Amino acid sequence: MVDNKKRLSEILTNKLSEDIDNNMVQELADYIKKCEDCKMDIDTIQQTIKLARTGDFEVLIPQGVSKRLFEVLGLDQE
Amino acid sequence: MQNEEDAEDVLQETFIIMLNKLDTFEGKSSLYTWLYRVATNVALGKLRKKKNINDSMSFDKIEFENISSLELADWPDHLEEKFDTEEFHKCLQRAMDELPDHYRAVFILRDLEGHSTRNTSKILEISEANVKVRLMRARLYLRDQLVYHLKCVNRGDYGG
Repeated sequence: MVDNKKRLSEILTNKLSEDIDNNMVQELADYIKKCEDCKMDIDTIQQTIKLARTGDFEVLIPQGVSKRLFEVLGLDQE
Repeated sequence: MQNEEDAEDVLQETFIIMLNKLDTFEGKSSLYTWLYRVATNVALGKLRKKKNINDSMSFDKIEFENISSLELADWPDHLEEKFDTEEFHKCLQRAMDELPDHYRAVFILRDLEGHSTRNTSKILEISEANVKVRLMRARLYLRDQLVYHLKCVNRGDYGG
């Protein structure tokens, strides 16, 4: 059972990163049943991500990150 | 500069630049003007560096509890409809621009480009735990900016 805010924050972080295992899913489901604020946190953050993904934005990738990305993926950068 | 120590640093750095770059001084302006410009650039650079560190430090303090459930109550049922407004779109764009580089990089790789936590950690050469923390803070920051914006809209701060 989730017994403190730190643990809750950890679970929410994993849930929203989709890095959650089955035990955590159950733990989270149990907790959310009793925690309306947590549900609101999850819903509003998921909607924010959706807006950022679907909206027409110009988001500049920081210098050096593209180069590393190509290196890790084993691709040549044109 | 806001304190004596910073002013002394600027003075010292300006003189070092003067000694190293004096041969590039073409005499198109007076030496005083040239030195004044060098000192201004040094001071601005120092202020910018300080601001970046402060901005980054304030991001490091972002947690779930920063926004209360009362403030989240302003969140509309159909956010997409609100999002059609130019102001709302600008708000999210501005919030993404404000993310410090190391938070924005994680947000782009994970949420916009869909890379896994593991891949993101490899690309940025940071731990997976660090990826998760940065991602969460970036997301919370963006969500919180939308909440503040919605609050202003509901209060009629934009006069519309």
